[in-house]
Amino acid sequence: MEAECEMCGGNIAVPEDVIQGEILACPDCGLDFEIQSLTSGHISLRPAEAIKEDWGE
Amino acid sequence: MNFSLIFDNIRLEEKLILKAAQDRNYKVNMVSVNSMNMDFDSSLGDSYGRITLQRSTSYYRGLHSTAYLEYKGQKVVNDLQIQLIAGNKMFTSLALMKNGVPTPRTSVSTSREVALEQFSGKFGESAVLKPVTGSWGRMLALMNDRAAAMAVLEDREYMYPLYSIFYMQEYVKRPPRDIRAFVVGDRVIGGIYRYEAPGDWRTNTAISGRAEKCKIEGELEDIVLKAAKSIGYGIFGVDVMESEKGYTVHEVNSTTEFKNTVRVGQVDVPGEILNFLEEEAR
Repeated sequence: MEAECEMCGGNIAVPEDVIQGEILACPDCGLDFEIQSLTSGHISLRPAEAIKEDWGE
Repeated sequence: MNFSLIFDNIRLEEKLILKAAQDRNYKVNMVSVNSMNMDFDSSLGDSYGRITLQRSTSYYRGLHSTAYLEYKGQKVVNDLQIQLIAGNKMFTSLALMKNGVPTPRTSVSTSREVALEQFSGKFGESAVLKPVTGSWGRMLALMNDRAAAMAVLEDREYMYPLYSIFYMQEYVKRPPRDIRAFVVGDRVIGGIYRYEAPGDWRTNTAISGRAEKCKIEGELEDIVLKAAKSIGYGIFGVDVMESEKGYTVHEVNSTTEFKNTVRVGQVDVPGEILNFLEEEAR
């Protein structure tokens, strides 16, 4: 599976076992995307959140 | 077993837990915290299963979603009280001290003037300033003279009010590493050394500190377990330094990351977490 980067149009390879919430990076421009939803083979991506102040352990 | 896993980002840890659960034929209800409709007037329904594992990367999302679930009758690991204490360095230090766990000398103040008094008086003009919430080594400031302390404290006063809770700790002389011990329930299941990142004084593996296997036994094991118990009964990452005076616990983490404990410690952390969920769901 592949998805198109909304920033640069690059092809983002999507692993078969991908799950909602996972982060994928565009190999061309480096932008990170989050898997927003997965429904019957259709993948919806959105730009991943930047690290926030309260993230971590 | 049916259980829910609350997440916001899927890290390697969440994938490992999910994989281990699938291997056991557990039914996992994956819940994105950002998709939760925390409607106070609705019932939770049956989809959450017998127990919920809280794995949100965000402290505040984890805390608030756990509060909602607990008040709706759901059992959550770690529970709200643990998350509240472990997510705040001041609360954690107080709990450790109260329970006789060796921990670095600490002071807190809410004004720059008192913080500077503590810095010069108690700490002899060398101390570490830490935000009371936050992790991955963000915004830890090693202050080695009064001018540096004045600058850092002034900067913090112009930030979000939580950064004006000045939590100050002695800078502990130690080898260029600390120890992360992983506790599940009343057992230490493994540990790693975390070495300072190149060109840095911090050891967080999130900022490229190197990890090596560490055997947790004897006095170290006792201290680690006592530290975890002082926060509650759950799943913890306990951080320990080897000071000149002996072991000292500087952090107890709640929603703990464990990829390095699995990788270099060769510990089945996901399996241990699932075993704990099984026990707690009974």
